[in-house]
Amino acid sequence: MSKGVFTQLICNVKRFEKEVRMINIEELSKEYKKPYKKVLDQISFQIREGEMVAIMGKSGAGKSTLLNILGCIDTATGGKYVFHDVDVTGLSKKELHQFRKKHFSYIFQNFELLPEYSVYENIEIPLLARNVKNRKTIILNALEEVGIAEHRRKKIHKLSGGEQQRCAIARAIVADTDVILADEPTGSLDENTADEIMQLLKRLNDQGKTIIIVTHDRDIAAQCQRSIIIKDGKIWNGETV
Amino acid sequence: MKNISILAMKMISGKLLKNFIFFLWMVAGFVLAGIALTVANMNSFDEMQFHKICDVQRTGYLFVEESEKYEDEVAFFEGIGLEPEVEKVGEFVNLGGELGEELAKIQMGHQYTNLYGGADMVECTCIDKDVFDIFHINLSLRENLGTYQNEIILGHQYQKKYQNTDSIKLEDTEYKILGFIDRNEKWLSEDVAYSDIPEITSFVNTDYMVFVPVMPEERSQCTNTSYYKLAKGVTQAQFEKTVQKIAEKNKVKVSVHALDEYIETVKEKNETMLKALVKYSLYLLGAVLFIICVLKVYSLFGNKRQYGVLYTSGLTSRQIVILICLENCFMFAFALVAAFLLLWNFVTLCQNTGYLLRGEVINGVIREILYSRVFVQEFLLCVIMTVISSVIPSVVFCKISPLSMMRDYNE
Repeated sequence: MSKGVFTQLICNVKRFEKEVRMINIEELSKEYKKPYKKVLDQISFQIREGEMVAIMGKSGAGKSTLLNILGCIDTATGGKYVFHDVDVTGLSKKELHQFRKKHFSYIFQNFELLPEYSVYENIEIPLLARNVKNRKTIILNALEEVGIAEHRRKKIHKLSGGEQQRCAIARAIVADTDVILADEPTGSLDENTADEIMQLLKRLNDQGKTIIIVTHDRDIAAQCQRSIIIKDGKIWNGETV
Repeated sequence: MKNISILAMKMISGKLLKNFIFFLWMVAGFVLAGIALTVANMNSFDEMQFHKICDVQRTGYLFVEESEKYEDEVAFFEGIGLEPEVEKVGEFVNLGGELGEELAKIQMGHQYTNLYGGADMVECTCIDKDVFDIFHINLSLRENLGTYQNEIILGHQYQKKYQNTDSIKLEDTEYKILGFIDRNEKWLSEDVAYSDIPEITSFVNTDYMVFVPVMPEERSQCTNTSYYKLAKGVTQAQFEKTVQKIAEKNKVKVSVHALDEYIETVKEKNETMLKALVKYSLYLLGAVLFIICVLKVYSLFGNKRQYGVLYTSGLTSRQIVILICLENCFMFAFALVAAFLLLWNFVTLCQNTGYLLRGEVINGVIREILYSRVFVQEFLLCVIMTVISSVIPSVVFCKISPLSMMRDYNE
């Protein structure tokens, strides 16, 4: 192989990498002033489009803060966060809102569903926020996908934990965002239900969604393509474990 | 905006029970605001409106217990030397002759229609003190006029048949006509029952009322002021003369004033009371407003997670502010409607149970609120209350970092 062809090949690989690299974090820091605490200390990593990544760490390690910064709920105090080619750290508050709305949806440990609403209504919220028409079809499809279509009229408190989390996942599905951020999605569930939820998340990942899961459960992390371990605000033992 | 409105409505319907106390406070606030503003504007009432408020005090006398009233009825007829054949409730006593029948109707009809259904069908009355135009008599004691007088006042329909000072003999009793009651809708009350039969002049049988037991709490509200409209050709001097004659006969003190003079007196008397009422109503209103604010802020911070969830679901801070404001505006609108319905039902209840006094006052208040500039003030006040108690807290609330809304789950 000639040197020229080799160089061309390297360039193509680099361009491809750039295209598929969705999230690029460079020396990202987060500090709180009162009381002073450095939660994230110059961490760097990349997440590619369509990946399923686990962020691991002990309580207080900074994993949820990192998730909040990735999801544009919080902002970093230093470093750079690039999503595709957009420098998120340079976005205004208003732009950040729109950016968050377009690219991220969330799943929480405690499901964070609104108890006053029915399953259907809870799932409808992101669609109302995004002014989506033909909501009914979208919601019913999402409910079918997560397997709780028969519960759509029920109030949240009448559902089991697994069903509530499925509802939360359906809410994330209808938002139709590029990335799903899950903060301890199986933390409040028993082992079997946790497995079912993970299967559901994997299925979404297979459909092309990028999924970032915060967890301290090694079994859950093992089901992801890779893990990023945060310890004392830094990435521990390199980027990939 | 439409979608946010849908969300706001769902918020309200979803949290109906949670919001109930908040809602009740708002209703109370509106009721108070309405009353305070109306009373504050009472000085701007024209004479008729002013009289409506003052005049209704007299109608408070109508509230009587059935059994006692029945006994009083018998006592009345015995007092005038008759033994009425009262067998059962609603049966008229025939005093003889065309007028006698009418008089019987008055006594019984007045009594029973007031007891049953609240409609006063009186067409004329055996009354002891007066004739009419809007003059009034201040009686130092309500019992002044004794138990029986021969002087009577007839309804206007008898005006063609008889004249003032005519005497009519019924059985063994001679009645002297002192005057005729002109058609005068405001004589008794503003009860809708009267307006249904406008051709009938309704008025209170004040003579009969001498015997009516007045509840202790009513007594304090009663004044011994009555309003009369003089018949054509009857002068104030003549009227005063008659009144004085009656008063002397019954050994009581009576004073007669013309309407304008009276209004001034009443205004002076009431001004201090009204000012105090307005002041305390506004204090109460302030307290209610403060409580609404506190409840609102408390509820906003109590629902922090909920707004956090909405935030992560794609709503922006601005949309959340709009959502909270809309939610509150809807609630305020419902509370406003509820407050008016509450007042309206209270009025109906008062009228049905015979408490016309309070009923009429509140009725007047509602009318003022709805049809006068007070309504505009009430509306403005609602807007101000909405701004203070919901918009400001929600704007301040949403200025807080979105993260703090979500902090609950982070920690």
